[in-house]
Amino acid sequence: MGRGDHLATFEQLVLLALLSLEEDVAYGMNIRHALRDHARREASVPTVYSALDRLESKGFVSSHLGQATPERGGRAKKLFRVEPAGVRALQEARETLEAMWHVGGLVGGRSDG
Amino acid sequence: MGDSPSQRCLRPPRVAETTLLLLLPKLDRGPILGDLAEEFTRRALADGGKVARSWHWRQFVRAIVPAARRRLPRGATGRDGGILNVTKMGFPWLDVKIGLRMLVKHPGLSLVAVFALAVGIPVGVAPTRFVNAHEAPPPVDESDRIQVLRSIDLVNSVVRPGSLYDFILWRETLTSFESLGASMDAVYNVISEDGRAAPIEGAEVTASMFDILRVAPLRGRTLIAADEVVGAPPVVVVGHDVWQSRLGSDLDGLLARRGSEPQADDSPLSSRSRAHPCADRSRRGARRSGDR
Repeated sequence: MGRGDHLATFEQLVLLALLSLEEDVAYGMNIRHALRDHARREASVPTVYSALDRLESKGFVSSHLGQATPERGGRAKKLFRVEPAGVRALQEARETLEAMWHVGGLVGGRSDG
Repeated sequence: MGDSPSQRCLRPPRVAETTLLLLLPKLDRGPILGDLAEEFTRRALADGGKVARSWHWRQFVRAIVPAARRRLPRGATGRDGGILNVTKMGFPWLDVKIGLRMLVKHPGLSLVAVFALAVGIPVGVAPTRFVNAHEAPPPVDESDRIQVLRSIDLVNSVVRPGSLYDFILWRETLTSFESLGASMDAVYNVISEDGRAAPIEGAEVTASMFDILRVAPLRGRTLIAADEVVGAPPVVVVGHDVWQSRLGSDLDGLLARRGSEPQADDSPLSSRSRAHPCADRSRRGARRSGDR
């Protein structure tokens, strides 16, 4: 994984939120709800889309326009899907974190003092 | 046909939507505004229009900076490179973002900061204004037309004594002032005819000083350009006070000596005994003067 392809914490959360959603409802507002409900992260809609932009430029997600609905003021949804590279990046990030937790001795009952 | 009140209630605040529309890049407008409108509608149906509006305005405030940043080129705002790239565009977006965040999270603290600035700046400036207001202006007509030029040694933070070179250079190059004069304070030993000898304060000045000060002689003349020529006979302008106290108000046959050399005296008298460096800027804005 290149230096620019690492996943920031917020990007990991967005990817995980995206994975938790069905493909036909995986768009900005629902991702935001998932972040709020499961990660207790309040992010503005543009912030979520900024993260999705970065993930898309890294090839971790792809997007396409969905249907427009009246409650959206006739505007189309932008639906996202996690690509295999995104899943791999998530797994690598998790393995890296777990390895560091082991190295730090914080896994397995180490206590301060 | 107009919208019914219930339909209007289900619309997001138009000002907020329009502002975001202008801030967001074209490709983002549909998805982002659509998401906000959809959530607004859901909340309006569930909790009422007032709650939905309040929510939308909060979202709007939180979205301003991210929306504006999305309009900038990638990498210009730290979207790729992190915090160090924030100032690449020369505008402190991070400061704006943190400022807005603090305003939302800690409105009381923001209020204190604003209050401190609103009060602190005037309080800090007040002493200077007070001194300026009470500083005695030069005793000449329209004294605000007169400015003093000083040469300052920036390394040692001291006023550097002016030089003739400075004066000539300024006189030839400065265009902001109508006229430039120079003076050098000095103390002269004056021996009057009754034999009294006592020092008096005076000054060696350029001829232009009298024009700048707008001081007219009561008798005789003041200095003229010809007096500045090398080799021209020195001219003494005696002030009114000195004329009365030291010369017995006598003009006829007055002879001044500089050392052992007799000086011509055109008996000029002015109502002021000292010349000050000053300049008239009434004709061309600022005018200049110089210290020697």
